[in-house]
Amino acid sequence: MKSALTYCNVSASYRTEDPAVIKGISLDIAPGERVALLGLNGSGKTTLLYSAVGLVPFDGVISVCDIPLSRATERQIRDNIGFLFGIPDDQILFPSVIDDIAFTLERRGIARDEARQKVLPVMEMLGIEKLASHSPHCLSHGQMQRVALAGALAANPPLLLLDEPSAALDPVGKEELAGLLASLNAAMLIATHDIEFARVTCKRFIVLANGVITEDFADPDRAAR
Amino acid sequence: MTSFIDFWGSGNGHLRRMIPSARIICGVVIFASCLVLPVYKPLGFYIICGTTITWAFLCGIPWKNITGLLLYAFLLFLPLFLLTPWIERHPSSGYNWYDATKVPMEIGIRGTACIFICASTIAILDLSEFNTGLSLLPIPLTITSLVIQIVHQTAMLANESRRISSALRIRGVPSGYIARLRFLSALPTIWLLRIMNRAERIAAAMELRGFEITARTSNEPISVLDIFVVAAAILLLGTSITIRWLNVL
Repeated sequence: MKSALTYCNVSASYRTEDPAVIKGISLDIAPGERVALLGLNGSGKTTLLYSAVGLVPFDGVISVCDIPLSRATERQIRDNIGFLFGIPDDQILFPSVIDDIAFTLERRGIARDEARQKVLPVMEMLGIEKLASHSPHCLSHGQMQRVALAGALAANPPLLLLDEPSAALDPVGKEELAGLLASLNAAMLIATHDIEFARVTCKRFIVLANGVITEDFADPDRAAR
Repeated sequence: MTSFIDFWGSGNGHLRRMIPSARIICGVVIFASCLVLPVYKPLGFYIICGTTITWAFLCGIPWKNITGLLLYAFLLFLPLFLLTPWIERHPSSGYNWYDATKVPMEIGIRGTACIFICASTIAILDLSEFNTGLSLLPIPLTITSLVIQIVHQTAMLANESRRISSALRIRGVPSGYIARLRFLSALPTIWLLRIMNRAERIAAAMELRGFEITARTSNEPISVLDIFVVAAAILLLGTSITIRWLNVL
């Protein structure tokens, strides 16, 4: 695999008649590379992530793990991606924590009981093993964030697209998450406003403004500025 | 009053030892029996009352839920009784009050029994068990999946509504009758827009996560209790049909 994620002159808008939210984006993320996507509200960070999984119509070419994104390859590409939505409770689809996390493996053909066993290490890593039988409705926002993240990490995908992963976490949780993400081999693109979290987790920083990449650098001190 | 989500799995009765699919089957069969039984026949009335009370007891539904359900049933069926004087009756009925209240009474008794049976059944199933139990039943997986999502998303929406109402309580409602009325009439729109946005986001997440039906297997063994209770429920349904349509007893 040469590249985990490639954007080649990508523009995207939610409706064809609307102006493009991201414009002419070209970007390449190597396998295992951890990239922070920085930018103000409305700069197009979430749209950039959504376009990589085919949730937003786009022009240009997007490839994930060297597979060009199209209708035909959409499912295969999504199987290679762990995605965390900005509002975590939207992506929790099952009535218990363990059911939801195990679903990631179940839909890849693993039997239910086996899937439940296999997700336990991820749950332990994220400190949510005690919540296994809980209903997602009873969880705090931070706990839901961890559950959604566990669902994204469960299948050990080669690429992670994370939208504000540290948003609802306490300082200890943020530190733990940064350590966890840094220990993974997956490539990741993390949309965040949390500069400190980005500095600890990522080696490369991309700044987005009005849908265009304005800066792309590797110096963490520059990110802080 | 207890919220929708608090009802699930709140019971601690003996029937919790049954496997989830058997609990669902029994609940559905008993519910069907109560729909079929003729309330206007003394035997039918006794069986409905007896079954409802026994089922609620065996499910171990908490007392505070029983009080809440009785209040709910009272408020739900009271309007039927209040409308009784305006119901046009056949002259042969003699215009007596007993006959006039017969129909609302039947609806009230049957409806209350059905509410209690539903609430008792969900009291012995938490949402996860409901998910497991339903997916093991021989019904089309698309329907199973749909029902599970309806229940799960209803719980999510109930939580969302609770958050909206807390926000309203804290932020306050405008003073003055006109302003308050305008505000309250705008509320469904605010709520609906939020729900629609949310539905859109959930649809995107379902698409992304590949929410399609996964066949499930279970290693849970069927116990004697399961067989006994399901058989009793089926027998009850058979008896109800016999009483209703075959005019036996």
